[in-house]
Amino acid sequence: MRKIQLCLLVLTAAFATGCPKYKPSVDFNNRSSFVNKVNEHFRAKQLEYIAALGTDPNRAQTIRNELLEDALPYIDDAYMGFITDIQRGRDRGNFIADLIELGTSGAVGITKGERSIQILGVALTAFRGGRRSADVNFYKDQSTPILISKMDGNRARVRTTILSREKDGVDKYPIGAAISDIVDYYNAGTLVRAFTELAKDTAVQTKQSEDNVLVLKGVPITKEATPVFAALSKSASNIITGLDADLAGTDAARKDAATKRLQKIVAALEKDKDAAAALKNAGVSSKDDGPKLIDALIDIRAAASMVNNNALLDTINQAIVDNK
Amino acid sequence: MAAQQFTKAYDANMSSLQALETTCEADEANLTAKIISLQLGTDDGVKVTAGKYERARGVKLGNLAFEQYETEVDEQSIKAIHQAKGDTFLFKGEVYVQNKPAKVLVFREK
Repeated sequence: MRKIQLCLLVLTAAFATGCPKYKPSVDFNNRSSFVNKVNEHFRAKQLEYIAALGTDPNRAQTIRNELLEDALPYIDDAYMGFITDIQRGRDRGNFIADLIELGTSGAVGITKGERSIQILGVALTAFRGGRRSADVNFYKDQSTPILISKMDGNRARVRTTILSREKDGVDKYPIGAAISDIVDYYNAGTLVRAFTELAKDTAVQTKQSEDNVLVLKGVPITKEATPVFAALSKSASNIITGLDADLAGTDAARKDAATKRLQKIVAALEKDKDAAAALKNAGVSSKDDGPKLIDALIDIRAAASMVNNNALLDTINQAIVDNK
Repeated sequence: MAAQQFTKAYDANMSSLQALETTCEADEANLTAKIISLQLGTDDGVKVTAGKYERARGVKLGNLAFEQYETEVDEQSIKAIHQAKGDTFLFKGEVYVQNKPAKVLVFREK
């Protein structure tokens, strides 16, 4: 007999507590039913909250958190049904019915005993028809997984906020803000919000792409270099680098040899009309010292590169390689 | 004093990534500068690859290696291959090849 009583007790406890308390079969297409259930819950809890607020803020906080935690299963249940439907592939008519958001649409007057109080309620707001056709097209464009993923992400973000704010006292996180967060949680799982967030993401990505594009003006466009041109350029560069190092070093013989080689290079270039003009423009001649000549050669080569004067570069680079 | 910088605009219709690499090596040599970035750009409204260089005297720069990649996995495996060869990773950027954007990793060969 005792065993039977114990089993009954366990089963009763399991059904009373283990099973979700709020497991209504929410018909998401029946807006009134869904909203009424949520508002009914809000009303009952808010009356308790107001009664406790003046005398026991801790109790008020507990009631507020109960309101939050008890309301969320309604919304989760509605959301699960919703995504199951859209994963199955809904027809266009049903889809348009989903384009709704909750709003904290003003106060709902409730008379309780001798005084009337105001509580926040929620209302379903139809999304503007003007957006529907575009949204429907977007929806039909095989984007269901993207939308569900976006909604999941939105919901998780709001849920984290709610969990974090539940630790706050009623002065910092009053019941109105809590209801507002519940509304946000619901809306985070709607297609309307998924579209909005996706549009924001796209805008951010577009901005990033635009930021990554460098806008230049008047820079001569460089065509691809031939392997021969590149090889000669690199050979000349290696020689210039070596001479530069010799001139900067402490070995007098190396400095002297580097200077003589640079003078020989410049003397050869003075015989070429274009190179001679460039040397004259840089204010150097084959009689100048090594550091001045190497600076000039480096600057002339860079200037020629910037305007893609490959003919002049070939002349200078060949002279550098040839004059040992 | 900050090193002198140069910005070059490369034709978006380079025949290959290798061709762009060769062109950048030639520019490093002639500018006496090392490459520091490659990014998509426009030049008077025309799409180009913008290459930035910084003056580098007294160093033999050697050869560059450009590698195209798509995903982060590609990126990591390409880096590992070049690291094994002793190459130095310089930067990642974006370039145009045959008028199409491509993500690239740029290495300096050992």
